[in-house]
Parts: sequence; C-alpha cells; structure tokens
Amino acid sequence: MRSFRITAYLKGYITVRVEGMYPEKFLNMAVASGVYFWDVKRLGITELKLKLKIRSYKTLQSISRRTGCRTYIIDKQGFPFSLHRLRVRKMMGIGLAIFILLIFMLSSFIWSIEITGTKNVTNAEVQKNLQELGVRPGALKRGLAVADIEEKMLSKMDSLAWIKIKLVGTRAEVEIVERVPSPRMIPEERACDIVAARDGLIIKIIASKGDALVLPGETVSKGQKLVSGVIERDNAEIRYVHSSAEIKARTWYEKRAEVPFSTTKKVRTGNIKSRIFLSIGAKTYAIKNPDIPYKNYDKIDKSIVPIDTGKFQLPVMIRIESYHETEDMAVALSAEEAKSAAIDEVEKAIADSMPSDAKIINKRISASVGDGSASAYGFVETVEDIGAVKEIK
Amino acid sequence: MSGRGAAIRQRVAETLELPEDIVMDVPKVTIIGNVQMNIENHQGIIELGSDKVRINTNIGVLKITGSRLVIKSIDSEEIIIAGNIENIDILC
Repeated sequence: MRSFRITAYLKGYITVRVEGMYPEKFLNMAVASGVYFWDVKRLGITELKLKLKIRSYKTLQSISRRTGCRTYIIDKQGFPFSLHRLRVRKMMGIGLAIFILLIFMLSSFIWSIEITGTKNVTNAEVQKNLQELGVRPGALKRGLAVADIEEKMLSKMDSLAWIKIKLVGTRAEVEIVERVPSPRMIPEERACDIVAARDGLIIKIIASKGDALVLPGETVSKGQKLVSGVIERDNAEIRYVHSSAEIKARTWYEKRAEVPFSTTKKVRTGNIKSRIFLSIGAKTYAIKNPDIPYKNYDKIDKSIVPIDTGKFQLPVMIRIESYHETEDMAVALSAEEAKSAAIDEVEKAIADSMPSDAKIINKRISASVGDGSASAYGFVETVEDIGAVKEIK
Repeated sequence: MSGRGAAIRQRVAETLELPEDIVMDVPKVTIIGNVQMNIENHQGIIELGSDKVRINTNIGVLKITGSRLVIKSIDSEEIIIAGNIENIDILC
C-alpha cells in the first residue's frame, strides 16, 4: 500500500477541483474510461476535489465537457515538477551531477602510500621503487596489477623477502619483510687466492684447496698472498682452483678518540617559516613568500605534483620550502663525562672493525683528561681468520 | 439476470465450491472497523457527500452515512471509502 505513494510521487500527480451540477456523473464516466482517482472529497454543494495521475488529465477534459463540469488544477506534486523547477536553476542540477561524478572519480585514484616493516631499508627507497612501478599518488587504482607489481618489487629490491600491497580505499598499504642478507661469496667455479686482510702473525694455516705460501710463525702484512689458487706441478698443466683454507693469526687493532668538553650542537628552536610556490608549465608563481629573518636555519624542500597518472601528467607543481630556525647550543661536559664518552667511542670503533669470529686475547684502553678535552686510546689483540678471498683475474 | 438463472448459478457455485461473488457477479464489501470500507464490483457512485455516500451495485444501492467521509480511492473495480462510518444500508 505504501509503495503506491512513492510511485505516485515519482511519476508526479495533480490535485484537481471539479465544479458542476453532477460531479458524481463525472466521476463515474472517468472511472469507466480507466482513470484512477484517490483522496476524493466533497468541498461544497457543487465541488469535488480529487487527485489523479498526470496522464489521466487529458481524459478528464473530454469527459468534463460532456457532463457539464469545469476542472481546475489546484496543485502539482511530484518529481517531474521538481525537475521542471530545476530547469530554471540548471546549474544546481549540473552541480549535483558533477559532485557525484567527482566523488566517484576521485575515489578511484590512490592518494597516499603507507609503508610498514622497514628496518634497514629506507622508506624512501621502497617508495622510489614503487613509484617506478606505478604506485604513486594520483595513480589509477584499476590500472595497478598488484600481484604483478609485488613480484617485480621483489626482483627489483634484493633486500626484500616479502611484500604485500593492499589497496584500501584511496590508500596503498605496503607491508614488507626484509631479507637477512647472505654474505657475498665468490662462486665455486671462479679461481681465487687468499690474501691477508690485515697485518698479523700466522698461528695456524691449513689449506684445503690451493697451495699455502706461508708457515705458522711468520709475520705477514696486509695484502700478502697466503694461499695461492694457481697450482703448478711438474709434468702437469697449470690448474686454477678456488682456494679455501683455515687460517688463524694474531692481529691487533688500535683506535684513538678525543672528546672536547664543550661542543656546540645545532638545535631547532621550533620556529618555522614556509614559502609556497606554484608552477604551471614553465611559469612559477609565489603564493607565499615571506622574508626569512632567521640567521641560521635548516631548509627542507618538498614538491607535490597533484595530478600524475603516469600516462597523463598535469604540468602543475606545488613546491613548499620550509625554513626551520636553528640555534647553536653549547653542550658542556664534565671531565668525567668527556672521559667516558671518549672510552665509549674507542670501544665502539674497535668492535665495529672487528669480525664476529675474532677472539680477544688482550685489551688495553687508557684514557686521559687534558686541557679542554678528554682522549682515549684503545689497543686490542685478537686471534682471528685474517684470510680474504681474492679473485684471480 | 433472470431469477432462475441466478438460482442455478448459485447451486453450481455451491457444489463446485467456487467463490460466490465471482460466479454471481455480486459486490463484495469489506468493512474495517468503522473507518474503512472496500466495495468490490460496484457500478458507479450515485452520490458523494461528506456525510453520505451512495454506491450503485448489482444487488441494489449501498448507502453509507457518517461524518468526514472521503473516497480513498476509486477505479472501475473497487471503491474504498474512509472516514467515520456510522450507518450502512443495503437498499435492495
């Protein structure tokens, strides 16, 4: 029952007043011709008012003549009439249509990219590779073959073990898992020698492949050949092998560090001023170009290209230069603080330069406080494999 | 419809258990409370007033009296009358 109201409104209906001697006769004749009325009321001795579909009105006119009644339209209701009223305000209708269209269109692009899971790889690197493959702000969602791009990314970036790209609304969510890097090895088929990576005193050398050139107890210097991959024997051709040997040597590391008592550190005060430029094609317009009153500052440039779908790029670019005021802040350390800082620096420097399989047999760190600064000196002796593979060209 | 014809038809309807109003071509009146009345298979409106409505049917004139009477809808098959119905007369 309710649906009738809705269809009636959608198609539009009119309210008519009938005046005449026998309006009932008029009703009967109209009904017999197939007209449907509703909400029929008697207004007065000679009047009736009723509602009917717009289409039926024409039939009414011929009947009214025959029954001697006059019909007046008192109201018009319904969608078709609103549409007609819109005709005068065309822009509103057009505006509404454009609005709906815009919403649809804009939501079929990617506007932001979110990358998670990066540890050693920088977000910028992932983003750059993504952009090359087409995942960038302004890209059409439909044109992105996600599985394809995931595969390409994995082959492009060795550091990725796994990548998942999800297009959620207008955002691309990229999750990555990094690959634990495998050591770079010279393939077995290539011939190579083993040379000393550092100066040292050989303690043990056993060559499983290749000829050993030094004996335990010998002192070797950095670069000296320890195992040769070139095998020469009498009565046989020269062979080239991929040398491999177990070498233990005693070597040392020494590092120095100095930490002054007062240093200056550049610190941002928090004041920021930005300049905004808009470039259309070759012309650049300054939208906001204030003077920069700071004496020292960090300048950060950011460019945005609002519409860039790979194939079609609008030559409009917005560039924002932000100037962050900086200040040199004096950092004062006490003698003790400077001394421990120096010691830490030395220890870290030595640890970083040592390989993980080195065994420390002697460690000596001395620190002294001087005039205005503290310095530390570290000396570490280790036993380790100082062999490094070197290809024979 | 002649009297005899009508009687025969009624018997047929009864035996075959067909709905009488269709076989006999008589109006079917549905009254909901005292606010609405549907009359199916009518033959036109004789009079329409806010306190009195008279409908022509095969079996006679249906007179409905009350107040604020309105024809909720009307087409060739059915009339629905709504309002405050006080009296219903079948004038055969």
